[in-house]
Amino acid sequence: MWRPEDEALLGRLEDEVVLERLFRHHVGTLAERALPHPRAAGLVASARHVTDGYIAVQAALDGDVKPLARVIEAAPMRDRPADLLHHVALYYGRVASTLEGVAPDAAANAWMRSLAAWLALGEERTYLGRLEEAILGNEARRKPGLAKKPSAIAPERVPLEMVADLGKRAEATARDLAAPGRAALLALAWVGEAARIAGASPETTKRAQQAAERQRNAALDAAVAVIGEALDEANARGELTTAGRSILQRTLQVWAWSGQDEAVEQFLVDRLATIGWELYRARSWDTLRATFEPFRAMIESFAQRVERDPSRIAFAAPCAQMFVFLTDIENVPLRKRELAERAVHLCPTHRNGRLNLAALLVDEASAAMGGMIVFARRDDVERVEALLKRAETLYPQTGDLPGAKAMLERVKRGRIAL
Amino acid sequence: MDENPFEKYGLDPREGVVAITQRLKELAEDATTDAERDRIRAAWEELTLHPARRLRAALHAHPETRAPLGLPPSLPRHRVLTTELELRDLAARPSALAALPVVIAPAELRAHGASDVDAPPLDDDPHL
Repeated sequence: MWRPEDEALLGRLEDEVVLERLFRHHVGTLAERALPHPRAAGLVASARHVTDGYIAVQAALDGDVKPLARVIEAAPMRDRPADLLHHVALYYGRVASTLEGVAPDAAANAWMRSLAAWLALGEERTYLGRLEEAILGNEARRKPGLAKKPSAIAPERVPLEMVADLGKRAEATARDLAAPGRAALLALAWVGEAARIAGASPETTKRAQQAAERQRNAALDAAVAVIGEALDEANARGELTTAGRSILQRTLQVWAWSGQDEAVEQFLVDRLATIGWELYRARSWDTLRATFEPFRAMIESFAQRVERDPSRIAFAAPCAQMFVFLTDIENVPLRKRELAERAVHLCPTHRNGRLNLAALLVDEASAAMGGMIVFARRDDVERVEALLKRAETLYPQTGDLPGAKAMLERVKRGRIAL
Repeated sequence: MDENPFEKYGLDPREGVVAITQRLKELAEDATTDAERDRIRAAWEELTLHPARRLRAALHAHPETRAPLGLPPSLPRHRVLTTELELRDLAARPSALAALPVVIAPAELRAHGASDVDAPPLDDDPHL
């Protein structure tokens, strides 16, 4: 006869089948070597009790796990039962650690969902509080005089512990730029999205984002420190101009590893300027060109950040200096002017940027006047006049400006205006 | 990927140090190799001597939310067939049937089995 105990056993086995299918859905063939513990099938048992959960589990039993995947990752998580959130947090952690070595971006997504569940649990407080009380309660009572359980973690701090774990994963691979570190770094960058999925309060979101930023910065500092040390050593040996370029190339790898993080761009702009000035003073234009060429995308990315966000004004001048160097190494006149304009747009008060652009404007005006041998179109003369006026406004001490102005006067007097 | 000691040894973090010790002691007594006994001892030290690590391991252990299993059916010494069996009593439950390979569960059997049948436990199978 079929007993309730038999029904329970069958239910457990079915849940294990569903969990295995769900895990395969998320990690593919990697599931073979990393199947979660059967206790994790409690996720399926818990999911049956939430809205659409029962139908999703039945669909999974029939072979379609996508509805169940949607149920467990649906936002906002804060409305879910706490035990389900605990399962979800651990389940996605398992998915992430299975994927992190081979598919870091997918792993980062899983870390982010795991963190979302932890954030929702931290906000709920009661579940984690009771769990801690059950686990540490005896120790606390055994130590009279201790006002606080020494090992306890406040529920709202638990997600921050997970953020710290991600930071450690990122920092552990900062020197070899391994895929797990990239996954952790990306996840730390997506903490805001995790908080949104969790339905976390603004305070919790802010706390988590600040913690994640600290962890990210620490990992990125470790990653660029290798480059910084090598550049310092090259500088001490007097080899910055010869060895600096190849050393700085590693910045590109760090940038890719970090998911194109701004901190790496800031590091690049700082160090590239030092090398750039050395090469500029040595008039090594070809080397300067070769040194800057690989970093155009990074410089552009940084420039866009500075242009988008006025609060990044402190980086406007260093970024503008990059465009001054790019102007210097550019051979195409039209492109040269665009780069010089960009430098001034980034930092309107940047001396080198203004000087550079003013000189280009004067050159352009002089070239235009050179074509006016007998006749001069009125609008051409007006354009030259405007170029020189702008050059004077930008940098009155521009070397060729007085000569160009005198030339303009001669053109106005001598040429036949059309 | 390291196994969580609470999951690996079937421990409930909420039951406290005494229950953890008792359970791991039983497992150590049943262990057949020194290596396994050493692993159990390491897990015991990890979970009982360091509350912070116990808490951390507990946070990383799936909670037990599965339905309790209860006892397995008793096996009577002398089997007495008290009811008349029909074909429907021999058919597997749909979920069990779905798990069977095709060679074991041909289409015609699955067609019958997919209906609303109550599968008898194997102990009541007169052919076994």
